[in-house]
Amino acid sequence: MENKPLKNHTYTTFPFSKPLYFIGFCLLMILINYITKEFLTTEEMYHATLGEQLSYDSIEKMLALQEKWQWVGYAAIPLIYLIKFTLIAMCLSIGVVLGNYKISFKKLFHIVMVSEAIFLLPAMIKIVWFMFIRTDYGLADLQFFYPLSLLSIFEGGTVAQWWLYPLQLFNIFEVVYWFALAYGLHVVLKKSVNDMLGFVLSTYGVGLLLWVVLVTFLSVSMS
Amino acid sequence: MKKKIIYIIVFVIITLIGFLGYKTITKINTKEKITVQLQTMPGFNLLSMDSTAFTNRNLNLAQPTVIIFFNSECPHCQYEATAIGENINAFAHVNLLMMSVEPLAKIKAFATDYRLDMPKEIHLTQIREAVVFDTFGSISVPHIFIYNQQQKLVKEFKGEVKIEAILKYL
Repeated sequence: MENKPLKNHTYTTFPFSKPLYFIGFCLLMILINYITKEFLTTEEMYHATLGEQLSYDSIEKMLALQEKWQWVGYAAIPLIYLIKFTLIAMCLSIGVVLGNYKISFKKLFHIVMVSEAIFLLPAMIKIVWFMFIRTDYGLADLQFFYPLSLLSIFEGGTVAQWWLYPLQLFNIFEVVYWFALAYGLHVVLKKSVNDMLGFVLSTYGVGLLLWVVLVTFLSVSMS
Repeated sequence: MKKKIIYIIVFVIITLIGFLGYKTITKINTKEKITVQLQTMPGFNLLSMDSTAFTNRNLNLAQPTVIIFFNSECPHCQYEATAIGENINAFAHVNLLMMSVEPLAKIKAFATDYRLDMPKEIHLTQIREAVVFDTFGSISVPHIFIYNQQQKLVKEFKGEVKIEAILKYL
C-alpha cells in the first residue's frame, strides 16, 4: 500500500472515523442545545416575557407542549446537519466542475463536516456568557445574542424580526469557517489558500447569499 | 454540456437572489407603509350580521375601539371570545369590533356559540379578504388593535391575549 503524502494527512487520513466524527459532532450539538434549554431558559423567564400578553394557564400549556415534543428537536439535529453539509458540499462541487478541479464529492463533504466544528465555539461562548458573566438576562437577550456578529452592535428591540438572521450570520466565526474550507481545499487540491478562498466565496458564498435572502424573504412574508 | 448546465444553474441562482431580494424589499416597504397607516384607525366598509353596511359611523368614536380580527375555527380566537364573553362588563364603554372574512352564517354561529350576539358593545362583522390585505397587510388570527378616543393606535397584539392585557390599554 502506498504511503499517502503528509500534506493530505488531515483530510485523507483523518484520525477519527468519519461516521464517528459526525455522530460525535451531533451529540455535542445535542448536548449544547440541552444545556441551553435546561440551564439558560427557565419557566420564570417565559412567564416574565410572555406574561404581559398570555395568561398563566396558556403559558403553562405552551411549556408542556414544548416539553412533550422536545425530543423531536434533538432527534432532528443529525438530519439537519446531514442536509446542511450536503448542500454546502453541492455548492462547492459546482465550482469544482466549473474549475475542472479533481476532488470527489465525498472529500468535499468531509472538509465541510470538519470545518463546521468552528461553530461549536459561538454556541459554547453563549452558554458561558449567560451562565457566568451576564446572569441577569431575559429571553430576548438570549434571542439577540450572537458573539462577534453584526447583530451585537444593535440594541435589543431596535432591529426588526426579519433582520435578526442576516445580522447574526455575518460574524467572525463565519469568516473563520470560510478560511477553514479554503484551507481544507488547499490541502487536498494543492492550490494556494488565496485561490481557494476565492473559490469558497464564489461557490459557498453565493449559496449562503441565496439562503440568507430566502430566509429573510420567508421571515418577512410570515411576520 | 456539463459546463453549459452549470452556467444555467449559476444564472438561475443569481436571478433567484435578485428576484427574492426585490420581493423582500417590496414586502418590507409595504409593511412599513401599512404600519404608518394603522397608527390611525382606518375607515371601514364592513357587513354586519343583519347584512347591512357597517362603517366607522356605527361606532361611538368618543369611546376607545378594540378591533379583533378572528376566524371562528381558530382555538385562540375561541379562547378570546370566551374571555370577552366572561368579562363583557369591562367593555361597557368600549367599541368591540370583531371582523372575519368567513361567511356571515359562520360568524353568526360563532356569535351565538360564544354569546357575543347580545351585548350592544360588540359588533360582529364580515370584511372582504382584499380589504384585509390593503388595510392591515398580511395578518394572522387572532389579531387585536386597540385605538383610543382620538382613534390613535395604543397597542397591537398578535395572537391570543388575556383580557387584563387588553383592559390595561383602555
